[in-house]
Amino acid sequence: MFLQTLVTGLSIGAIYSLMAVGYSLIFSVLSFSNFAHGAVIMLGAYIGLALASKLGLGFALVMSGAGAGVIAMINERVAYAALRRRGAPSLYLMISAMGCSMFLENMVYATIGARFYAFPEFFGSRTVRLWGSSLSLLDLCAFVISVTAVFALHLFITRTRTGIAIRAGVNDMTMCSLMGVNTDRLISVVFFIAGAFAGVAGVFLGVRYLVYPTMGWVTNKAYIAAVIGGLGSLPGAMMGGLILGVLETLVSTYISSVMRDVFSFTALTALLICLPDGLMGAETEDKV
Amino acid sequence: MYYHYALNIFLLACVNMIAVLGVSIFTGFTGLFSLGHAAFVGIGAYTAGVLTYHWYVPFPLAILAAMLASGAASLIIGVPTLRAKLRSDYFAIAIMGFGEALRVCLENLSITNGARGLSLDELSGPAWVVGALLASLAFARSLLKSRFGAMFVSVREDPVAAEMIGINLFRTRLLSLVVSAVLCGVSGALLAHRLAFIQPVMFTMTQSTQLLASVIAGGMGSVSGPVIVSLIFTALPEMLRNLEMYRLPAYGLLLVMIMIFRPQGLMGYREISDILRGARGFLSEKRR
Amino acid sequence: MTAALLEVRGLTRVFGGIKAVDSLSFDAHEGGVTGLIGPNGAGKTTVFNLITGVYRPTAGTIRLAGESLTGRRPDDVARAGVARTFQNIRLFARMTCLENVTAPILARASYGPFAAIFRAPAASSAERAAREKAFAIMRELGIEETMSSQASNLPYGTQRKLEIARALACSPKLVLLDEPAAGMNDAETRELGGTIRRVLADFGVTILLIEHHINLVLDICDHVVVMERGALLARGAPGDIRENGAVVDAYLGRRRERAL
Repeated sequence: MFLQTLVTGLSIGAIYSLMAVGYSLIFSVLSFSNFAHGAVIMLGAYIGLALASKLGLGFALVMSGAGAGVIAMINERVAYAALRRRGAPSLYLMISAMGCSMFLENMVYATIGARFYAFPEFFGSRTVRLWGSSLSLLDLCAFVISVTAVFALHLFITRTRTGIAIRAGVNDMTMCSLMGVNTDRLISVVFFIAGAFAGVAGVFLGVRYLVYPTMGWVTNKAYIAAVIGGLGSLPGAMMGGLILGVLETLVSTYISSVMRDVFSFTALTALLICLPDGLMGAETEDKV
Repeated sequence: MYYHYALNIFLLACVNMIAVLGVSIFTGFTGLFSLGHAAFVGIGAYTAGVLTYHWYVPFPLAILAAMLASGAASLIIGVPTLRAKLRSDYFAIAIMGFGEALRVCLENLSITNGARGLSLDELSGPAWVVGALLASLAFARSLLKSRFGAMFVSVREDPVAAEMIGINLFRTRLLSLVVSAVLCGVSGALLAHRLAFIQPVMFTMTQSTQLLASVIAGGMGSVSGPVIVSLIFTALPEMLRNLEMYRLPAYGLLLVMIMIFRPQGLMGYREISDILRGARGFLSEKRR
Repeated sequence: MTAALLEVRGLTRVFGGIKAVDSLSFDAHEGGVTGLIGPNGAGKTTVFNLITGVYRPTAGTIRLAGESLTGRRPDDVARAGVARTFQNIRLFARMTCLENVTAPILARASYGPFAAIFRAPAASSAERAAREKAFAIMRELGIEETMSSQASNLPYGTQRKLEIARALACSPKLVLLDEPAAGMNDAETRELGGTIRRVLADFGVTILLIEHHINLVLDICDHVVVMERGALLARGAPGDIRENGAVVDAYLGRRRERAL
């Protein structure tokens, strides 16, 4: 029973990580909270939904990852690029992001409708037996794919030229443009990755729960995960997501499922009191 | 009949204006981002609602209790999150989590009658609403004209420099938050007894974003701008009933457009009185 | 020589294994101008950031008139009597010039939120006094005619002066000026030297100055501290510094080479 709960928690946590890593990546490069991340997740889920019944889950995952990535890129070009180029305060970027989120979410609401959609059954209640517990195949699949994706991102960021440029951009965007790195392209890559992760997370969320216009609100959890790990730290976001997922599942299994969200928030507040910079966040010092 | 309808809309707009005033002090004057001020409106609404519904507490006392409850709630979120200086994103995220946690609580408590909502008496008559609005405006004007207003604006303009001239960032931001939450609490208490019905779903992120939209469109650092815009935002959808579906996407689009093309909003960093004074000066100069 | 107002002892700050400031000790004497010079990247601005509490020192102590400033919050340090300007001007851009200078005075006014809301007489008189004091400071610096224009609309040189005015409005004992003459031509720099000397006489403050215009430093400082790679290279009277071989090599000499 405990192992089963743990695997469910890890699987949910891995989906949170997938969302939190993308959000944190954008934060680390542009230092603002991209509140449109939730809308991208939701659109990814709708793309997956449209394709999954005909083409299968694997193809749906790839296509919604790519689709959501492109959406995130367009979103950046349309709503943030102009602000970013004139060096607007991050407050403006956050407001613009909120506007995007509101626009996308309610456009879906107005066009597709408020109906809740369910993905077709892929795994049914198929389970894997392990050490006397029956683990859901869906959970295992979500966990493995999410962790693999985050690991691949880690390799990309540490091993490839573009990845290293992104990491340099994290430290100093102006320096980067002085060094002749094309920051516009770099930021597009960042948004594509974040969007792709969001899309995949959206499909998993849709398979696990349902697809509906406001499903992107689950990114609250991604934000909390990112803060737990330390805003802007990718390993932190990964850890934060897993920890949050496991703790939440434990709370809803052993205490009460209603208390789950209340618990997440309380945990966040408690953590901010004890560790204001999160688990892995760097000491926050502004340049003067 | 038509007069009655118009009066109702006007009074509802007045109630909204009080909350918008609160967000304007926090976001427009102190430069912090909030996606959760509807939670303070909700706390005010439910505190006052529960008191008059279950215990027949006199309305003025209920309003007072609403102010206290919202103020206390703002301390609970503000103290841990505003302490982490230079990263106001923490606050934006924590208050989002807080809003969601609050909704879950309200939906599951028996005292609030859960998701079905509370039916109340229509106690906020025109005198109460208009009186409270005028009092709030006078209150905000005095506060913003005082040394606290100067400190809020200094913190918004440059937190680092503000700190170096001897302003305590944490205390200044916290004061701004508490003041804004108290105003939202008043607005909530009036709203509950104006509509004579409250439900948890009335106080979610959508409402928070609408409050923010009024402040941004009206202009940051202005009291009159947001107040005027919130009147328009309340009245306009009533006139365009058949376009109701597209109201929220339009708000979202508006936020993005304002940030890109006119970040100062309608009246950015100015008041109606400045413009009138300017116009008078211009006219008298012409005469000469 | 008068007593030391600012005493820095063994000040060290490490960033990711690199010593940006390395056991630096120096004094700033009461009523004088102490120059802090050195090549780019010597750690001068880091010293300012350590004194004003932006960074916490890794080791060492900072004392102002005998009172410890080490590890205190920036607003606390400011209230203890340290004011500063910034290398890349940080004014309150959308406030008027007068409001910029009034802000520190109002931050120190003593009336509370309730007096503010009910417009108590104490509040109004404190605000009037603040405006008068701010205006007086601006007049001392000769920028009073700009008082109602928005700070971001001022010419560069005036913005620098406005920043000095805002620092003086903090009623400081010690004023830290971070490259006040950056981007100025020779005539403007000379004029700034006069302004600094006037400030010194009229406000009874002590000044610690980072500057690259070597003539300005030699002209107005009565004590010079030379830094190289975070550490103290030399200190002494301007005349001695000019003669010091190590300094000439490390700093002045390099300039001369560049000029050739």
